[in-house]
Amino acid sequence: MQLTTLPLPGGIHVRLDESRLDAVIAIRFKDRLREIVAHHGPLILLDLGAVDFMDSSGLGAILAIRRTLPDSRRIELTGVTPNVDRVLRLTHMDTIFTIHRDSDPAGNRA
Amino acid sequence: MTGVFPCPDGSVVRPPHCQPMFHRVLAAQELAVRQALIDMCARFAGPDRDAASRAELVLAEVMNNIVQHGTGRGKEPASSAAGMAVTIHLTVARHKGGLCCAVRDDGRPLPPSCLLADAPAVDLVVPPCSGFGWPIVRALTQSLFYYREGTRNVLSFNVPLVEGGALGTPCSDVA
Repeated sequence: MQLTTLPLPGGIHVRLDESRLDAVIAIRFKDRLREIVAHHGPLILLDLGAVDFMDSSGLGAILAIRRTLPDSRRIELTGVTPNVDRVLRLTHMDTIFTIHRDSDPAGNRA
Repeated sequence: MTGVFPCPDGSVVRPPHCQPMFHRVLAAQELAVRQALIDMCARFAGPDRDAASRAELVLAEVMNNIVQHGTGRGKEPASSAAGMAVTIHLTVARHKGGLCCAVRDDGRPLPPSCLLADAPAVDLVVPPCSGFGWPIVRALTQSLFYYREGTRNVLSFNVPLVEGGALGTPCSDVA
């Protein structure tokens, strides 16, 4: 399970270099992301551009991290592909995350 | 059953408008589920790609539920409770109304409330971290049907060709 991090002004860009955020990697992903958010912020820009499949266990991992964030830190999403977008929409989680949908996500400004 | 009829010379005859169904027998484990989903999607790539993607998501939720709860193991793979060995039989067939899916397993019974309950309103202030699987299944399927057959669970449903699309011909009309 591969995560690539890049410093951003005001936070960190975290790219998941996996095509599937599913039950196989959900727990490892959650543990790695938890380490990262403990040391960076306040913005955690999670780049899911490589992910073309996510199930509820993957979503649950992101939500579990979001839930334990201090108020000063926030997770925002970028690179959301159609299948990931579908899961966010069906679960109404598209309303709780800031989702960068422009072609020049904040991560590219670093 | 597959719509393919072998001839003595080794060739096959396939009736018009008929595709062979996808069938897989797998152990109830995350990696085996992942591979079955990848293979199922490859099988129905092309014009049915969007329906196959929705079926992939629904089947991921259904089969991972078997991995976690049908085996009695729970969500944590590292937990000391290894759970019982469970075998899953997955069948997906393309018909005029969509992708008809059947999942059979010899694990613990599925609580019927998974299928019947309306999705509770999601707390958007403190969203939960789990419990999204069955609402996703209910949202993307038609004719969702469950029964317990002896020591086996049988779950079947249709995934329409267009999201939210009308139910086409019944699942039995495979051709």
